[in-house]
Amino acid sequence: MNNNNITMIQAKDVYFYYKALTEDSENVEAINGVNLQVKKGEFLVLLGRNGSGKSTLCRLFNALLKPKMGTVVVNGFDTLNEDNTWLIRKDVGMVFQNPDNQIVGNVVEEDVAFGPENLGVPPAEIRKRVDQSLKTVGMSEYAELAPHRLSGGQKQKVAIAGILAMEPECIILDEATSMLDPWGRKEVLDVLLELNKKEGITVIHVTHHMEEACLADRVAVVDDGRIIKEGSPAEIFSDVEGIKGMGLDVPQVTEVFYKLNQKGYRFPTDILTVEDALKVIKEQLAVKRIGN
Amino acid sequence: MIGDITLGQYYPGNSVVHKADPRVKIIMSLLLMVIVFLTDNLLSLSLALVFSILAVYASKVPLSYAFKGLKPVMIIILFTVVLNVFFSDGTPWFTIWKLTVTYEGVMRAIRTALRITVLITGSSLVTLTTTPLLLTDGIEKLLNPLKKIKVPVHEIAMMMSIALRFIPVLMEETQKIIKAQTARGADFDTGNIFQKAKSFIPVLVPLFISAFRRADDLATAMESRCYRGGENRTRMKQLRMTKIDLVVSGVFVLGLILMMIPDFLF
Repeated sequence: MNNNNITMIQAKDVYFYYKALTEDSENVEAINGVNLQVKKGEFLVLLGRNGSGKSTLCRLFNALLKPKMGTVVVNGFDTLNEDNTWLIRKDVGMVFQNPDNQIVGNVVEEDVAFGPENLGVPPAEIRKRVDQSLKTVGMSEYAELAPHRLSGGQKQKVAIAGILAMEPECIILDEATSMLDPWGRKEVLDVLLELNKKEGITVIHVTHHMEEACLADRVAVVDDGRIIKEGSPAEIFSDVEGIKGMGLDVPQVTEVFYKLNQKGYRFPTDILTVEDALKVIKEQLAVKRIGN
Repeated sequence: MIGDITLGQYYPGNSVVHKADPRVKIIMSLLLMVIVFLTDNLLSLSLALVFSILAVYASKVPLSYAFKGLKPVMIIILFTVVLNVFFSDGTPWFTIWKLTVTYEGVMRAIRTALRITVLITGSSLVTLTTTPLLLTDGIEKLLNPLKKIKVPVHEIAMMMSIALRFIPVLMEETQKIIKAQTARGADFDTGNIFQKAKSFIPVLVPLFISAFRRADDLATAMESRCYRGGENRTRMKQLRMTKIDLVVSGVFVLGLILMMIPDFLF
């Protein structure tokens, strides 16, 4: 499903700083003029070093923070207008880094119900939504368990279900996979991809894992509070030196082929995954066979 | 395992007492307390004890388990009994050494002991048969009228339930910090009680800092999920009175009347 060209989030010349705590210290600049458009149904990955402003940007997107200059418009609602705050937060759900610190309920299904309860949804409807959301993320059998008995990946899936129950149009994951083991990361990403492809939910995913960035429709690189690069994963990662210069990494496979190219081979520069690599190698072998 | 600790000493079961509405149970235990304090009649108090033992029996909680709550107050009971027996004015019964035991003193001691026993058994039966979650729900619903005089009822209930949610998380964290500090050479096992208490400061400080950080995270997460206090909030699970509640409260009221009869007769 692709609702191309309909804007989900529009950021225009956004500036943001954190107020200085004491008189003699300076304000901490976090966002220095960001222009970004997120389309409906898009899977966008934000990359950037620690302290580059990714998290701040995410919080600006669901009115947890308000821009000091410029505007953020979510689904047609300006975040600066107080009246819009709850409409925006209903449409844009957020999953945070630490799985333990965002689960409110004492039982999994209670936690999933927390969002719709806040929205004042009638009890029977909440029940329906909770069951449906837990089914979507594949956690139905854990509905009556206490959250502290779940694994990290499972907790994050519960957090996602809690947002789904509010029927959002966009989910933002603020480094939600960074505290998970590879297995948990895969679980969460599978759910995200399914939501994005099948339900058409817009996903904004902040991550340090380049393999995850390869799954995106679009990647934006944030550095020093600005978006300095934007494009498809292939476009972004083909500039291996540029990416490394920003203190980031490229996917392992890309790096292998980059090093091979340095040695004089001529492989394409947009190889991101093992599957890509396999295809290219097979092609090359076929060419050789014909050549012989 | 830390995760297996039962919170609030809930004893899982499927009895009538377990199934009864938390509001009914809370009100009943409060009524029992009031009666036990109001009456001065020995027969009434004994009936109250019999009644609470019967209630424990109906809940299928082992009697020894239900009386566990009495252990910590045993000293208090003994203390009051001794004081009452030896230091009450009244008709002297017999004298040991220089202490005179009065008839009234003995009676008063028995009454106080009975009173405390019923009090503890009654209230622990509520916590034994109700999950902490239902208990907070029940308390919130019961305190609802206080909202009119601006008591933050919803907030209190929310705090209680969040506290319950984070008990296992913080327990685990405490264990982690203890291990981390032990690895750095901290000694928690030697020395007298004061030294031991002091040695826990390196555990408490990081624990507090992390608890505040968690609170901050949780507040942000709650806000981003549209939490804005109790107003216009609905609940998925509604507390509902059933036939069981009718039967349970009926039996209870009958018991109360029985307890009060000797009070009026003598």
